[in-house]
Amino acid sequence: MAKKKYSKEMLIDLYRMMIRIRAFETRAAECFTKGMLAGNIHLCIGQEAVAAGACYALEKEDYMATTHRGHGHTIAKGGKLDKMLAELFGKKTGYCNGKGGSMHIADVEGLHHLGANGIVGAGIPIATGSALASKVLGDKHVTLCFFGDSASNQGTFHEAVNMAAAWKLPVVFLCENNKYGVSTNIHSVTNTETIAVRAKGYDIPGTTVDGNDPAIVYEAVKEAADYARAGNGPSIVECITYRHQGHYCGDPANYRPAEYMENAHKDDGIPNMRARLLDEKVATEEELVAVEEEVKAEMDAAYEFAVASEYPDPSEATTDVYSSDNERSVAR
Amino acid sequence: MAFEVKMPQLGLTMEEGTVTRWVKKEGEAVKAGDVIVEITTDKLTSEVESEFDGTMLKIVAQEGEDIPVKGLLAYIGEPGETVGSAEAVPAAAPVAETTPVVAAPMAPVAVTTSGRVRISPLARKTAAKMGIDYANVKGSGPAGRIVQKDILTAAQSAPVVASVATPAAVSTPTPAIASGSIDLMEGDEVVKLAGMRKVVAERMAQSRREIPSVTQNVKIDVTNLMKFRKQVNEDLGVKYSVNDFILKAVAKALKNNKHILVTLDGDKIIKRAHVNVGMAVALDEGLIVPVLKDIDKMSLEEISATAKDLAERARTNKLGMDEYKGSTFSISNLGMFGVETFDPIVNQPDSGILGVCAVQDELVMDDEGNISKRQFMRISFTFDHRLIDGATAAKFELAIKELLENPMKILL
Amino acid sequence: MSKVLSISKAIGEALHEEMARDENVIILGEDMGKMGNVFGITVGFQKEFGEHRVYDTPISESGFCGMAVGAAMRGIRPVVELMYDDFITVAADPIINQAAKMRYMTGGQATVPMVLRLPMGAGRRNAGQHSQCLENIFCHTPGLKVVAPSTAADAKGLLKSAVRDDDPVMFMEHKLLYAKKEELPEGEYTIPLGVADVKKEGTDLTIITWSRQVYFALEAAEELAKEGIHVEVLDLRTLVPLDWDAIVKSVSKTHNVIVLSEEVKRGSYAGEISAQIAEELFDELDAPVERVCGLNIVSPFSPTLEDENFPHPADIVKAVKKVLNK
Repeated sequence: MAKKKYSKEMLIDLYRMMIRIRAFETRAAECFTKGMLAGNIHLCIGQEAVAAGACYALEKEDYMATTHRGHGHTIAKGGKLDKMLAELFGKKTGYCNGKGGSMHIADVEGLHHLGANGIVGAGIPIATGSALASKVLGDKHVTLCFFGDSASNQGTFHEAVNMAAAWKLPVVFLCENNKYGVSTNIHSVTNTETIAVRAKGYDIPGTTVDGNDPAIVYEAVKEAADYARAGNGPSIVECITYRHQGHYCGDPANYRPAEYMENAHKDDGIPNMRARLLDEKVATEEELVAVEEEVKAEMDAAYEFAVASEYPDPSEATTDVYSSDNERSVAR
Repeated sequence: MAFEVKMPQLGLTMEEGTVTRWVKKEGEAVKAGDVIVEITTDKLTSEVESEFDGTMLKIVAQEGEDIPVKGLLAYIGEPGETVGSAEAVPAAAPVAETTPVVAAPMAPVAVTTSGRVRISPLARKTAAKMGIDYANVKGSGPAGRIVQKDILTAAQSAPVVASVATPAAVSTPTPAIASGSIDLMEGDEVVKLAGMRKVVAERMAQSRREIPSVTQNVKIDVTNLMKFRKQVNEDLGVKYSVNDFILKAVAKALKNNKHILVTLDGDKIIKRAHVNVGMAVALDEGLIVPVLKDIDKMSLEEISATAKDLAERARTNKLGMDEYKGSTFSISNLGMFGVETFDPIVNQPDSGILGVCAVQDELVMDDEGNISKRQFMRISFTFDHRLIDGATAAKFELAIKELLENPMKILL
Repeated sequence: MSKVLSISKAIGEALHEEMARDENVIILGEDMGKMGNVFGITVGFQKEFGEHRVYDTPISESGFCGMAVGAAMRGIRPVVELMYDDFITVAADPIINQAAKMRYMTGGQATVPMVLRLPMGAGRRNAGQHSQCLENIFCHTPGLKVVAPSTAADAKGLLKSAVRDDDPVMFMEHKLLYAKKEELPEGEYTIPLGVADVKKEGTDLTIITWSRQVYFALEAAEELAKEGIHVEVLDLRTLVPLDWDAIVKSVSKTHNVIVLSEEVKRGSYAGEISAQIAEELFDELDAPVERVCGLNIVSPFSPTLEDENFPHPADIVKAVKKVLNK
């Protein structure tokens, strides 16, 4: 493990990010269960280390696209918990003014976040297109593309990775392999042991790492991002992780063997990192409690904000469909 | 909520009324009991009183419009209050020119007995706007659909507009008053056929169409009658008219000739029990026939008084609805105009009408060759030949002649 | 001053001018670079503007259309060509679920200023998968603008506007019009989206149409004029946003309407326009709105069969007479 290499500040930041994500997802689950949220939410509890580590490897100006299970990535890219939760509530103060909800949170201008996506695999060409834009514009931004193990079986994955490889586009394809697409185990529908091995088919770098340790994820993504930024093209970074919840909030996930969750708890990045930070005396109990209380306060405030916020006026239903000539184009 | 003023039902058989004059104008204050509008129904003008206090907010039915019973006439409410369906009512057009469509649930198509009229939406709108009754317009569109062009053609050849939404016009087709093809000439004035004139037109045409009528003219020597009348008036200090004696004589003749008092009703003949004589009264705007009921039971005095009263009230539009209904026979007297003979039209459901002509001086030569001046009057009896034979009619005429030539018999 | 160009060249000229004007305009599509497009629209572009602006894509319609969405969200203005509009089926997600919805789903943050050029239409004996007119799919999808020009001048002016528009624009080009040579103005000009054009004035009936059928409508109108029937031909040019004012104006004048298109009749955009007229202009109509479209069949291959599948001038003449009962 490479933790010694990293500063206390970075490690505390990674820990803070992970518990922020979990706090958010836990609160979102509570709100959902109480019937406060509309629609469905897909939680990333158990996958926090991937989000925290990967986004830590990005420059602020770098771009990102994510998936239906994207709350953690958004938070790690700098998303504010209050505006996110408000969006989950469908409030007008949310990131998308309540028009997108959980699966479409984006902040294009501010966070360079190109959005979550409700279609599995659809974000991959979009992220690749962002990388193409960087090539056309000649900027040095990298685009980080999150996708799940199941999305790697979509045609869009192969089409986009192929073009990114052919045109050496600055994109990092990050596969969060939690082993399940809804109820289907990846190995029952895929012949390869890993997803990263597919990189060979496109003659690009591919690596599979432990997705439960943010520092390890950071390291892999940093390497891939640097490689892309240098003009060498894309890489695939596969992070093995666990989806603690079912596919959606409320899914009992009884299609998984008992060992899955046993391992998930054993490998859970958050308690493990906390223990290590104490063991290796990177931080004191008081320091960590202070961080945890800080996060709880932030989450409580975000909750108050979301609850207190107003729903969009019904008249907003017909705005934002078009950027010009909207009224006429919506009218008929 | 504004109150709705609706067309009142002024008689059992009333189906619609014509708005003749708005007494209260929009914006005027109205108290319950105030007369707000005058309505002409059939042959009668009535004043409609407000049931509400408030302000005349909106006049929906314009003067000249025919509105069905319970149809909306106006709104009364608080000043500034908006009235719901007022916008749905087409703007008023000049009274004499068009009939605005009435916002009543009776599209002409729906009430046409022959079924739905195929007409394009545009043509329908155009017809409504121009006041064209399209029930009889021939369509040139696919499947005979009436298209706008057909309406425009109809409008050009028939500037005299017929009502498009009055049940009377639609339910009793009257070709005589339907839009014809009359070329207008300079200075012509086009007015709507409405109210009494419309009813008269319909009735006359219907009678002429349905009844195979025959008219017989009989010359009566009324020299004695004229003398007798003069003497009675002088002796009794009264002012019986010739018409009063004629009415009395006819009543008597009818009583003895009941087969004249018949009515054809489909495949049935109604034999009338009562001698109810209608008396045609000319008015400026048409004609009305108030009825002297059970005239055979009346004295000359009663007849004279009743006839005078009815005629007077007819001329001032003050007749009650039932006073011009129920005739079993009619008399039309044009004597005062010097008419020598004429051919009256049977006033349905009667089967006979007696035209009374002018009294004229004539020279008469007796068997000895003496020439003298006598006074003669002709009667023109028109009857429904379906029910009354020529000889039957002639006998009736003779009975009248007998009475009038021997006036004492009238009173006996 | 004017010049004569084929419609494909007019489209090429529009693209060339826009690429020269704005270096964020790029071209993506199969065979757009080295070959310069199967219809020769972009010949020489790659050499002139560089490989980083003119891309020969692999046969990955879903992939490169999705990439166009991502690039467009970053401020690039990709002009993408699907070799045939029929291929939208393999690129349906990036267009229908991504490009069209991105702005709305993000609460107005994202703009997707891309153009998807869609060669379409029957008449080339290309059978079931290369002959369709699928504008109904695009018109049905909120968030997309849809343009379908008929003339060289319109194609050029409208494509330039489409490139500059901040919304995804589906630009439908009829393949059988590419070779048609027409006059168009010299120099730079644009034609705004959403403005229809009366290609021929008339008083008796309005034919609302677009793309290749405009020419058939004009032919029919000429034929009918000999019989004293004066047909107005309204070329919509843009299907979304629809120039409703132009429709109201024309229908209010002629009171008889045919909506003419090459689409499969069932579920066509022609049907949609017809419904709107019936709903809102009912009182202007002297006859039911007539749709004259293709059949509800798969595009056939054999010429005798394919010719049955889209309206010809004679069909239009017949339909006009039917509506007018002549």
